[in-house]
Amino acid sequence: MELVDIITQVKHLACTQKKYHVDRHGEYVQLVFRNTYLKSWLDKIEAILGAPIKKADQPVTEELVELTEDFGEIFDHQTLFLQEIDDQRVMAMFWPWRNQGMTTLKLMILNKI
Amino acid sequence: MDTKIKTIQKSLRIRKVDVQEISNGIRVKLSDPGLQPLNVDIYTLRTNPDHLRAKIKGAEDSSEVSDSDLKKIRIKLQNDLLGVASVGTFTSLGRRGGSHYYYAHVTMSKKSADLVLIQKGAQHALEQLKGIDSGRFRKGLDSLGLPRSSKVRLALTRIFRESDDIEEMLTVVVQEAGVIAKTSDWRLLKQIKEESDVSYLNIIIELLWKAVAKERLIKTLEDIHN
Repeated sequence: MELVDIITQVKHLACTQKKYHVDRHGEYVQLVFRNTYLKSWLDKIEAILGAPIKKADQPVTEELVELTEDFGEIFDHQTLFLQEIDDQRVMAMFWPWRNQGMTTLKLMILNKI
Repeated sequence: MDTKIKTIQKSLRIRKVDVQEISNGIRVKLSDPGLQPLNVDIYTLRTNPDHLRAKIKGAEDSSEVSDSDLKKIRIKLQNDLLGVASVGTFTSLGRRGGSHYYYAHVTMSKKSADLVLIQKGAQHALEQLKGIDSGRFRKGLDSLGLPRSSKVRLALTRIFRESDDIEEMLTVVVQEAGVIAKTSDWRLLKQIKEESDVSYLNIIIELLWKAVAKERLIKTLEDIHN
């Protein structure tokens, strides 16, 4: 899977900022959108990656911290989706901003080899 | 380790700050009067390697770190990294279990270009300093009439003591230039630069002066801009 395969499916959803990074380990994109679109984004990512492995306000385990280190780690109020596909790890993390009606979505495809 | 983190690590060690290596960066152990002892992790994210972060983990009793303590931590770190990097305001990352986490952006100083400018002189200065013992160095400072408490004397002494290699020397020169440029001591430095007849000191005085002049120019340009 390529990141573009996911992005193509969500490109109709509005976002205000985009950042992209690629290296030999994989691809990474960061999108920021208004919370009015949060449910649409969550529904769309769930349709692609399945149910979240951690919902907002569920406790964070050490294993999840390690898993998300390259993302900047994960905290209680964040939601994480994970799917292992062949030799790739696909992750999506929703990061609501404090006291501001925005959310950052971090999407990453890591090559495990 | 990322080269930016290495530069920060070296600079902090020169300042005698307790620093340990961690998986993606360094851990700075801060113990300052008026502050609970705590760690600040400075690291890069693999997904965003140009971006340096400083992270604080609060106490595990669910209490938040006060804005005033976050400010004190920032100032302490900023002072330790003077001339090397600037530390932004700490903001909340979120909570995990009983601890609150905070992070700040760390921006490397644009001085790397300045370092290159003065590097040529630094190499020569370093070679010359290695042939001088501390007693002779002190006598040289005395003959310039520099008082023991003078910032210029302290700066030259630090450059002499802590310059094991060219990188350390340049880091110390830029740090000390940052301190001197903010005070009226730059005039004293200018005066001894013009009057010094201690040949083995001239080159480091010249080096420090160049770095101070650059600092003052930047400050002046910023003032005009503002």
